[in-house]
Amino acid sequence: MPIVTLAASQEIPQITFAKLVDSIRADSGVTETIRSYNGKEVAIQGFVVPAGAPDLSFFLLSRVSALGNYCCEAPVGQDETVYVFTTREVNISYDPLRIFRIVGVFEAGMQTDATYGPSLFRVRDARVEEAVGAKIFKAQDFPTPGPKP
Amino acid sequence: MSILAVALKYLRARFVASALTAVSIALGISLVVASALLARGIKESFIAGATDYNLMVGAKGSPAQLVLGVVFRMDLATPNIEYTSYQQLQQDPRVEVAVPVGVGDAYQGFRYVATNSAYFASFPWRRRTFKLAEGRFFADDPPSAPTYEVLLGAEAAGSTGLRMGDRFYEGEEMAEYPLTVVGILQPTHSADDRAIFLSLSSYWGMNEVARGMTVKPLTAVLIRPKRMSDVPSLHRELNVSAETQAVLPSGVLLTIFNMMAVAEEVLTMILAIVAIIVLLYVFVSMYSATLERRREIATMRALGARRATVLGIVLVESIALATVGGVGGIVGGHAVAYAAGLLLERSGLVTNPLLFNVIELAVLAGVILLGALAGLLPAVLAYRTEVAENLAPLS
Repeated sequence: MPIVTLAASQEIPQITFAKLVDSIRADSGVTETIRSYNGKEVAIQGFVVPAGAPDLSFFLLSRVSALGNYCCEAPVGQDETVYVFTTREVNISYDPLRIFRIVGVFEAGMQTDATYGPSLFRVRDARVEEAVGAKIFKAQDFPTPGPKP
Repeated sequence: MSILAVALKYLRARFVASALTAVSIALGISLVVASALLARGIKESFIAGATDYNLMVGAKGSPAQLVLGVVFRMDLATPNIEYTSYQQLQQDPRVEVAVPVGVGDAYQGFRYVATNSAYFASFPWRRRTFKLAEGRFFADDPPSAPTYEVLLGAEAAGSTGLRMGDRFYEGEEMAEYPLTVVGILQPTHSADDRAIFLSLSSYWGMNEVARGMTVKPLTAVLIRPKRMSDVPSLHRELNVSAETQAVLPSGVLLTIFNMMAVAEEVLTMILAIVAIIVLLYVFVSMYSATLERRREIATMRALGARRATVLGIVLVESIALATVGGVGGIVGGHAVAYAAGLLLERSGLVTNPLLFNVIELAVLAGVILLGALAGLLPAVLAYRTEVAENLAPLS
């Protein structure tokens, strides 16, 4: 399956799940910083959780894979889940343990959809591509291991 | 006489050889078109027939068997889970709707599907709606008083000939518990059209083993969570449990699509080889025809036909053969896909082989282009035919 390279991907701001978690305030509120991306095209990387129809017109993008029942991290909730809506055909080779890059129009703030229920973060008109060698968090989000004694 | 008229006359003169060449092209194109139509049709049928529920819970085992058995009824049902699993899910605050499903045996090949009224309920998030063609839905009867009422899917009703009020059973064991038809559904264009629905109480009452069980059995539970973001946590919890597995129905179908994609790639390679063979056949056919009629071409040239005219005649011949073969192939491909679609319908997959795709025009254009290409060398041979050399006495 060929990997689609998105045009001008360097100019698209990258949002991480760490940023999303940091942006959450009391009563499902979000910071102005994250709201400033509303209506703009952003890129987010994560695991695809096919919670909607198999044509992937809707799916969840999560920091944690939907598979990995006996290892890995426990599944995350609303704060680390992005509701992704696609309008064009998604042509990916789905793999629950593979990281995908989503580019689309970002929306932050609690909203309830008649079909998909309440959500905090959404990406609409999304394009999906495999993110080869991608990290979910930026390298600096992890503590650097110290030298071995 | 125009180039086209001369070319057609030549083709008519070699009718058997021309017809065989066109049929060969048509057969090759039929294979390509039918394969593409069926691959697309199967995928679209899986997508259209998929459940509206986001999670499915069943016994430990193969996720594909669970989804294919419960949603598409294409496989054997997985082992049972306890009814208490459904009751627990119903009380889970994260769950909006939980629907119990029991997949049973079959009547004349149409599977018994036991469930409750929630299966047929309309919700704002549901794509599929169940409308009655006749009668009513069965009641959610208590286990102590099963009604043995059934609701027939449209195709199940049509094929079995069962009508409203009919009482039926299959097998000696069920003679004591005949089922009564109380309703017939309108077509849903999914595997539900081939189902015989009944209440869980009737399902348990029909079976001697289930009748005696304190905790009743189920095949699966379909789940719609209140928040989609709870799908991963529910999925994990139900999978970690020793009794149940939870699957994302769409995830299973996407995995099946991945496997189909590999098969499609292999098929594409085979079809490419078929296309090359057909192309070579056209080339050989045109080449030998040109060799056979060198004297005729030389005569035409002696009578004043230009080299370009001779070249044009041979090219038009091969283009005409490719066009006839291409059109025949597209029509034949749809016919093959239609026949295969009828077979697939028996497994619950509904394809639409008569749907025309714009890509088929591109296929036809490609065939004509390749036909012209195959005729190019023979055409050049005709173009270079020397008059004096080929009009010499034969002996």
